[in-house]
Amino acid sequence: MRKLLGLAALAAAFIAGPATAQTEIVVQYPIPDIFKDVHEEIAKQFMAANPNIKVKFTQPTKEYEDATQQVLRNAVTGQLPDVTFQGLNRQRILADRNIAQPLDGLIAAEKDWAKAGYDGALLTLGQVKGKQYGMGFSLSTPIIYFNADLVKKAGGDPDNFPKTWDGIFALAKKINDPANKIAGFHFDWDITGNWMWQALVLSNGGTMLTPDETKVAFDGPAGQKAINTLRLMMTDGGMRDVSQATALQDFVSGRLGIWAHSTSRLGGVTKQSQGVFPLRTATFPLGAGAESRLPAGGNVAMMLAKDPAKQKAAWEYIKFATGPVGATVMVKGTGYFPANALPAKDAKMLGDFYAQNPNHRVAIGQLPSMTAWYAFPGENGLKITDVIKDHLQSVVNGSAKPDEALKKMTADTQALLPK
Amino acid sequence: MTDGNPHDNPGERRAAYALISPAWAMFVVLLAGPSLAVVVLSLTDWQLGAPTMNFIGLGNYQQLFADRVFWKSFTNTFVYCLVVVPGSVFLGLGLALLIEGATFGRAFYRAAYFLPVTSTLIAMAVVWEFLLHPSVGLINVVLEQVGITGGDWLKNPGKALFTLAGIGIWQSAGLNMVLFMAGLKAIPPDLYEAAEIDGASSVWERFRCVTWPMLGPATLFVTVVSGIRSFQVFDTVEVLTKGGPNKSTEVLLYTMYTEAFNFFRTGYGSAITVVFLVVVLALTLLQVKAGEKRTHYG
Repeated sequence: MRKLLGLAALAAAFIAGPATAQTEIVVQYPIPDIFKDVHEEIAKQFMAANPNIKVKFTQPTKEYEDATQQVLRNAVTGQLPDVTFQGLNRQRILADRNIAQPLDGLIAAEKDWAKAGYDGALLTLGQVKGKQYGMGFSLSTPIIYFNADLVKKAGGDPDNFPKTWDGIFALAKKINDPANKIAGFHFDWDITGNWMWQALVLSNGGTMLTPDETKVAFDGPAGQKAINTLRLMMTDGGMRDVSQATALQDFVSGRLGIWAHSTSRLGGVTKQSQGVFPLRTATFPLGAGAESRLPAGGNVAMMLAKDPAKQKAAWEYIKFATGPVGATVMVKGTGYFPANALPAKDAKMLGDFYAQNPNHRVAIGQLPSMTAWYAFPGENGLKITDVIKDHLQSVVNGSAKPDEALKKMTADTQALLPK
Repeated sequence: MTDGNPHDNPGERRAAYALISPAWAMFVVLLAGPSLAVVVLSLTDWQLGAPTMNFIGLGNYQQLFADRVFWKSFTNTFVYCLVVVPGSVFLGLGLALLIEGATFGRAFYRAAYFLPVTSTLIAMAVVWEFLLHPSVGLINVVLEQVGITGGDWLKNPGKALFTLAGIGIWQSAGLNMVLFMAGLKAIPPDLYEAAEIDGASSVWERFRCVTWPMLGPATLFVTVVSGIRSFQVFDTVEVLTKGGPNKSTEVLLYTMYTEAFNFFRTGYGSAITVVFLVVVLALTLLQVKAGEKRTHYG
């Protein structure tokens, strides 16, 4: 019997042998039009540094939505990738279904973790119910983009851009010139996951739900201020009820003065506006001082591998992609900023980049107010975001009064929360 | 027992089963099986990727019938059908009569009006998006010339559904036209001669007394097929409006898609699919029943 066991151990060693020599991990990521080159470059550098691990990509998905869809389908058919990059507000779905693996054990086993550059505040963006499921890869935050020419022409000072919504609306009114097809202001309120609605509520010091996640909290003073601001954007700011695509086209062609959107587009818009107009950025108005928060956007790396050998390789890859090397590649290729503090301090990595690109620096200045992109709990979590979007639409097109819409939105959301 | 009836021969019977078995297998694997799976799923609370599922009986249906969005979607789908079916049937009939009566260019007109049927609706929806653009789209530019302000066709809650219905009519009139032309070809010319001798001298009289009644079966078929097709509207909604603004263009298949594949509420989405299947089945049965009656009128 002992002999047999020995033989089995020997056989196991042989079988495991080649596996440790080269482990293959499968990686899935979304939004190839922004991230394809970035991920391929990171994988190339990773494999050069780790010859015993081979990285293979699955076909990237177009959006965050289909990235989650694909993982859920893969979970049914048992073909999960080992590492997946998911939108911040989608982590909860994969954690609740036990598809994603918590990373706390692996972090605890790291020797020099404190020096690895993962700041506590940024780590919380990847936590679901106190457990670490995601490692921040590329982060974004809502900011104000503006066309410095149009602002100057309207009598504004680009170096002294208004810090309140009232100031922005007053400026927008002067820029607004329908006869010449020039619009003053647009706010992309319909970005996925109620992201901009969360920005309005959080920046006024509110939250989506109460801390125990049982009751709606956006019906409080912060939410009332937020919904009234949304309506004022139309009445005072002269915002039109147009799609995100129209606003983007108008802005890059120099026909929109002030545009509130995510930093994720900064890389692309910088390129597109070159030679058309001088592009500047400003901080998102914070209505509650130190109490103000802003939701982080972007995506995190999550580990789905269950096999310990694959988990080890996947963890190495996640650390590499979210660490200094990966972050440097990512920032230079997109408008996002990293969830790792090290590269910005090193002139050779990103230090010089930020010194030369003040438009990118605005987002770094907003880091202290950063908080999680909230995902509603329970099986109706994603449906709630759709319900909220519909009510916001009714405020934007003026078919409902802001306070009535907020009341209905609160009741509808409450009805969909877990009982 | 055999009585010389070849169908009771055991060998032939076996052969018959063997011959229909491929069709049966395909039917079970591709139609009956998935439909049954959907019915079963609609009785559970399963969510895509969830490790567990519970039977909740008719819970999904209870929730469905209390859901404002579902009823909005259900009514929208019927309103869409009520516009598209008569619109495309009469337009198809008119086109068929005009082309049949034309003295030249028949093949050209036939091809031209049939083109929308052969093109991919997704691609065509993008073309329509350009045409309907509020400020630079061709439609509003033309309307401006005659002093009408078109507005935003796809963002106005009162207009969006009817705009989509217009595209639906444009898309399916060609198919109806071809079906009516086949029906017109089958009418024996001597009937028209007989009608003329009996005093039906005007074009309208001949249409009323001969063409219309003789087109009965074709009309029924065209109406039911248009009904089922317009009940399945999805592509234009997905590309042009995403069910908005404020659910004013939300239709049944689109609701099913968002519930099951965006909100991952698979059980709930299955319940919507079952409702959808029941309606389509009812329309099909209606056609079969009415068709049986109609074939005996001669």
